[in-house]
This record gives sequence, C-alpha cells and structure tokens, in this order.
Amino acid sequence: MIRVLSVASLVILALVLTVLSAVVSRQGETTVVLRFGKPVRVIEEPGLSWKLPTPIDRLRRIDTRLAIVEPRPSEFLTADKKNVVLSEAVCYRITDPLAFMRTVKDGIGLELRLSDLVTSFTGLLLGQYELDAMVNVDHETLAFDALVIELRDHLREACQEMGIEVEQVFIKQIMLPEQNKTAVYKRMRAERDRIAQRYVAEGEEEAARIRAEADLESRTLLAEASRRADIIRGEAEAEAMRIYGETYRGNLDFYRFVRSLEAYEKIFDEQSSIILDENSPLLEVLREGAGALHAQPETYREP
Amino acid sequence: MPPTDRFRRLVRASIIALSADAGLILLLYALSRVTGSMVLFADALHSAGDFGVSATVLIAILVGHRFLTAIWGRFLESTLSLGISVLLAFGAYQLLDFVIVNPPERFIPARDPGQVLAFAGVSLALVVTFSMSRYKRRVGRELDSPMFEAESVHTFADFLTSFGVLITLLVGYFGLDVERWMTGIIGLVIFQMALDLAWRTIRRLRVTWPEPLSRGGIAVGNGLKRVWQQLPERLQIILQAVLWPRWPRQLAAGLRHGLSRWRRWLQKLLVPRWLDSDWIERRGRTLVAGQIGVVVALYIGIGLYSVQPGQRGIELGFGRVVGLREAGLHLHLPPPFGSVDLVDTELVSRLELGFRTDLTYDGPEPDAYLWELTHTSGRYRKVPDEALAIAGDENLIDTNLLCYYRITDPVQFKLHVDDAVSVLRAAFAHEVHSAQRERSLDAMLTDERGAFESELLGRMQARTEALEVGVAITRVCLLEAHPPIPVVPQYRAVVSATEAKSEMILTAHQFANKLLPRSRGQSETRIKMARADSVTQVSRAAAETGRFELRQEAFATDPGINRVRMQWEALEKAMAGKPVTVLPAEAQRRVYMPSSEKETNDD
Repeated sequence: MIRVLSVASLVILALVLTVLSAVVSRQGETTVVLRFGKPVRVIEEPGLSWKLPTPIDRLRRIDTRLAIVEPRPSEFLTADKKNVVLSEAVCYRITDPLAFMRTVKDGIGLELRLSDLVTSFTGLLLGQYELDAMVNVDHETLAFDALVIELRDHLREACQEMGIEVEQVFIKQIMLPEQNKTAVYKRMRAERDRIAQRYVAEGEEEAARIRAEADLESRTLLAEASRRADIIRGEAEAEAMRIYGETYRGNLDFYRFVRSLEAYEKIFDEQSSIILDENSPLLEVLREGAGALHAQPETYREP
Repeated sequence: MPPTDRFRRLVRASIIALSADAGLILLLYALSRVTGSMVLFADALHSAGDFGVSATVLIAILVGHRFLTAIWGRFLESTLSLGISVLLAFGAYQLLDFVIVNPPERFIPARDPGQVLAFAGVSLALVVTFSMSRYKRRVGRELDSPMFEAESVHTFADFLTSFGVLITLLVGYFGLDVERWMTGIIGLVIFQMALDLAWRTIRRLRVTWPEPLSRGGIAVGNGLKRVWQQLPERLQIILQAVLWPRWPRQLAAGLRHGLSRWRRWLQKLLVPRWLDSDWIERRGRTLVAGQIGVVVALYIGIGLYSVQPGQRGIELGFGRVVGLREAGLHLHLPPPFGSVDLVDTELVSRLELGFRTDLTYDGPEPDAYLWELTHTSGRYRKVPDEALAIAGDENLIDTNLLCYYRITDPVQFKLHVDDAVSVLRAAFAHEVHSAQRERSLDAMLTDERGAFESELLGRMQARTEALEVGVAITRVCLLEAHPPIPVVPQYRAVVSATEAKSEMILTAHQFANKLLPRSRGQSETRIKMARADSVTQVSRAAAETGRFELRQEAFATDPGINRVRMQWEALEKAMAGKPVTVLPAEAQRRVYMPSSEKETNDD
C-alpha cells in the first residue's frame, strides 16, 4: 500500500514539475522568461521549450501580431487657421519585447503613449499644412499622402525606443467642429436656394422668349400673307381694267348709253319715289298717245 | 459531567463531517465558476446548507453533554433530526419550485477543459459524499445516535444529487441538455429522503420519549380531566364538539397512511433496490477506476473537432501551426498543448462604413428607404462619424459604403494580425474619406460614382497586400451618397425648381405651337381669298365685256329701235312698283322732300 502511495506521489510530483516547467509559446507571440523578475531569455519561435519551475522562472507573453490603436478624435488648427477634428488609427507591432516591457509595461500604457504621440505629431504637422492640401478637387494642390507619410515617419522614430514598429497611420476622418458644420449647412442651403431661384428665372426667361418668337413669327406670316393678297388683288384689278379698256375703247358711245341705262336701274331702288312734272314728256305719252314716244324721259331727284 | 467515550467519538465524527462539507463547498464553488454551470452552483449552496446542519449537530452534542441527561440528550437529537428532515423537504420544495416555475438557466454544453475538470471534481465529490454517508451511518449505529443516522441519510441524498450533476455534465458533453429534468429528479429524491427520515425519527421518538415529559403530560391530563368533570354536561357536549372534533383525527390518520404509501412509492420509483450504499461499496474500486477512465477519455475527446465546408482549421500543436485542415472530423492535442482556430475562407464578408446592420432585427421596416431613412431605421443603425465627410469643394457629404472581402490566408488573418477587421475598417475609412476629399459633392452624387468605386477597390487591394492581413478585397460598393440630412430639403427644392422651369418652357411651347399653325392658316386664307377675289374680278370683267360686245353687235342691227326699246325697258324697270307723284306746273319745280339717305352706286 505504502509503495503504491509513494509511486503515485512521485508521479504526481513529476507531473506538477513538468506543468510548472513547460513553456508553450504560440505563433504570433513572443515569450519572455523572467527569473525572479529579471528577463533571462526571449523565446521568439513557437513551440515547446523549458524553464525552471514556476516560482523561480515566470513567463511574460507579448503579442507580436499587427495591432491597432484608435485614439479619440481631437481638434486641431491648420496653417490657414481652420479648425478640424481628426480621427486616427495607428497600426503597430511589438518588435522588441524587452524594450517594450521596460518602457511601456502593458497594453494600457502603450495605448496611452501612442495616443499622446499621435495627437502631438498631428498638431505639429497640421500647423504646417493648409486645409487646401487635404481637401481639394485640384490634385496638384493635394498633399494628404505626404502628410500621412510624414506623420508615420515621426511616429516610427519616436516609438523605436519603446520596441514598437509603427506600420501604418490612418487618418480615418477629417471633420469640422459642430459649430462650423452648422455654418457649412447654412452655406449649402443658400447655394441650393440660389440655384433653385436661377432655375425658376431661367424658366421664365425661356418661356418669354418662346412666346415672343412665336408672336413674331405669327405676325410675320400674317403680314406676308396680306402683302401677297394685296398684290394678287392689284394684279387682278389691273387685268380687269385692261379687259374693260380693250373692249370699251372702240365703242365709247354705246358704252356710255348702256352704262347710263344700267346706272338708272341701279339708282332707282325700291325706296325711291318718283316725282313728275305734269308737263313731263313721260306723261305726254299718256296724254297724247304714242307720239311722245321719242321724247326723253325726265326724272327728278334730290339734288 | 466527565466526557464519555460516546461523547468524544460523536464530537470527532462531527468535526470530520464539518471538514468534509467545507472541502465540498470550496470544490463545487470553484467548479461552478470554471464551468459557469448553475447546477454546480446550486450543489455548492446545498453543501453550504449541509455545513450549517453539521455545525448544529455539533452544538447539539456539546449542549446535550453539558446540560442534559442521556434521555433528554437523545430527545434533543431526535428533535434535531426531525428539523433536518424539514430542512431537506424545504430544499426539495425549492428545487421543484425552481424547475416548475422558473426554468433554470440553460446549461450550455461546451467541450472544453473546464468541463472535464468539473467532471473530475464532481467524481471526487461523489467519493467524498459516499464515504461520509457510510461513516456517519456507522457512527450513528454504533453509538445509537439518531442524529447521525439522520445525517447519514442526508449525506446520501447529497451523493445522489452529485450523481445527478455528474450525469448532467456527461450528457451535456455530448450535446444533450438535461439540466432541467435532472434538477427535478434530484428535488424528488431529496423529498423522498426527507419523508423517510421524518418517518423513522417519529417512530424512534415514540420509543425514546423521556419519562418526565410523559409524567408531566399525564399530570396535565389529570388536571384537565378534573376541570372537565366540574363543567355542566351541556357545556361538555358543546366544548367536545368544538375542541375535540372527530374529523381532525380522521384526517391525521388518513394523512399518515397516505404519507407512508407515497414515501414507499417514491422510493420504488427513484431509488432502485440495488442502488444502496452496500452495493456501491462492494464495487468501489471498479467504480473509481471507471471514473478515472471516463475523465481521461473526456480529456482526450476535447481535441475532437469538425471543420465545416467552406472553412479551414488552423491546428496548433504546442503553439506552432501543425496544419491547415479541410472539411471533416479531426483530432488535435488536448489543451493546453493543442488548439484549433476555425476560419471561414469561402465566405464573402462585408465591412460596413457609415452604418451597421442588425442581422437579428425582426421589427417593422419603412415602405421605402428615403435619404432621411436610409441606414437610420429598420434593420440599420447609422454611424454618423463614419458617414459624414468633407468633399473636395468643402461641402459635406453623407455616404454609406460596403467593402466585400474573403479570407485568403487564414494563418495571416488569425496569427499575424490581432484584430484584422478593425485594421481593415480603419484602412477603408482612410481611403474612402481621402478619395472623397478629392472630389466635389456634385461629382460624388452623380457621374463620379463608378470611378470612385473602382479607385477605392484598387486602393484597398494595395493596402491589404501591404499590410499582410490575409484577405482579398473582392468589391467596393457605394450604397448611398447624398447631401447631409439638414440640407436635403433644399436639394429637393432645386429639383422642384428645375421642374417648374421645364413646366414654364413647356407652357410657352404650348402657346407657340397653338399660335403658329393658326397664323399659318390665317395667312393661307388671306392669300387664297385674294386669289379668289382676283379670279372673280377678272372673270367678271371678261363676262361683262363679252356681254357688252354681244349687245353692241345686236344693237348695231337697228340702233334707233333698239335705243328706244332699251330706254323704255330701263324706264320700266326703274319705275316699276315705285310711287309716282305728279306735280302741277305751278309748283315750279319747287319740291321739299322730307329726307333721304340714299346712296348712289356708281358700279
């Protein structure tokens, strides 16, 4: 029984020692072995390795994967005295775990330091760039990429001593402070109102032009028609006169006779009253029979 | 009173029971924290209750020994064991109430080291509770202590409870959730034990009822009897009917009978005849070996995992990537030596900028997603800080974008980047807003959308390649681009103004279209009429001259006669039907006519 117990205790002891001495280092992390707090070994390769049992050697695991820190947005002033609010992100990885442990200690310290540095460098650089260099439809004036590279290089240099390699800096957003935003909205509204009014005025102008053109065309058409009608009528009159002239020219007496008869027929209309002198040759026929037939009729009209 | 051997053994047994309870509390509480199981936490609480009971038993032993005679001491023990049975029944009632009224928190089965540890821990608790139950029964029987016998029953109930927990964990390991059923069964078992214990204690009390208590009872009875006899007969009848009716006694007898049958029925139902402490003790070694075997098997079983189609499993052994596994069943080294990361490599994921989609949303949605509503209501949530941006002409623009990506290198995605999605989102925001700052608002709203999307796709592909995050960008979509919401009414007013402009122009065209054909018609009419007039005039001239020539020819045949005839005919025609007034000669042609408005016609 005692033998069984002692074997069991030895096995358990060996197991415990194994567990306390084994180091399983994962891919994507660097393990630092600390002997009574003093770093004695840095394990960069993943896999199984060994150390002295736990109270003597302890482990500190440092994540060396690409990580990101996103500081809170901050307000800055550009070279042309314009206020902007920038949101940034920094991609980094820990390249020197010992320097990192010495200078930064942990993740919270790292986030704090990176945030401080980003804010400080951004303020410094924005003071040298005008807003036009970042916001512009003219590509020649833009210098945004240069700004980002300059910011990254500054950060890289400053973070080197902390054992951190800054891979990339992202300026996620450049925004105006709330107060300026309201002003921009106001300007955008005014601009839109102006465009709307211009459209209405243009509509009125175009409509008036179309109406006037139509009116002009209409009147021109009618005037032209009148001109042509008058010419046609004149030609007709001329033709008629010519016909009359040619016919009547040789028979003027007969024409005069026939025409006077026609004129009489026309002059006495239905409302005419005829007043005859009792000595009128017309009445002679009645008085004397057919002898007066050759006499000229005499009529009296109003003067 | 000098300490007897019985007293010493009782105290020692109590202290052992207390220590065992304390150990169990710590063990079960730690296991409940590791696994997050409510059943284990309830078991730990139960053990805390047991600790209290054991402490009470110890105090009772000390008090009995110091102040009471043996008979009174036993009476106190019996009363306490009755109390324990009441406590047990109350615990059972609470468990059953918990199961019936509030369904317990679901135990989520997970195949992890925590659960195997819990399994091992509960196995240990089983061994401890079983040994303690056996020990207490032996002490109770040897020293004739009803309290310890009661305690032994109580501890066996604990053993059964832990056994139920063990079954729950084992079944849960294979994905079956029986926590609620098991809690109910445990409650019924404890209730049965409480009934059994109460039954046995009451029977024992009838034998060990202390003499003075009986004597006191008889004296009180005699006194009451004398008082009773003094009362008038009629009052006696009334009081007997009120104070000592028959029905409570009949009810009590019925209850006793029912309880004993109920207890036996429950025992038959829940505790099989063979499952007693002797049976377990006989197979102790086999059972313990079996337990250890199961624990080891479960530990290795943690390494079993299945990779679904469209996934890849990154298998790690001692922290190093040992392989990328395709779909199917695989086994990795059990933790902490091995692990697996499953990555969806075929899935096209979407990265949203300016909004987030709630995939679980099940509420109402708007009839149409207008600018004011897009990605702000229904299943969408707006992220204004991402959506609003400055355009190149210093106007503000509101956009919602999507970036589709696929994981092409699972190892890079998981092991080279801490949070690849956050990195991608930051890069996407950087590229989107910087491209927007190079374009005017109007261009972004209209003709530049396609160019913007393809430029972004190129930029993002270059970014992800440079960052080595293990993804491929497949597409970038500009879902929405519109002016900021406060300016939208003015934008719509511009559209209305263009409509008004078109309307005015169309109305003018309408006027022109009506006027010009009409004028053309009129002018045509004028010309045609003139032509008609012309033809008429010329024809009339021809007709008149023709007639003239004919008449002249006829006239020339006899001018004298014709002249007279024509004159007279003309005279007739002119004067026919007209009033004729003949004036006398004396009138000397002076005539006054009333008036005349006749016109002459020279034609």
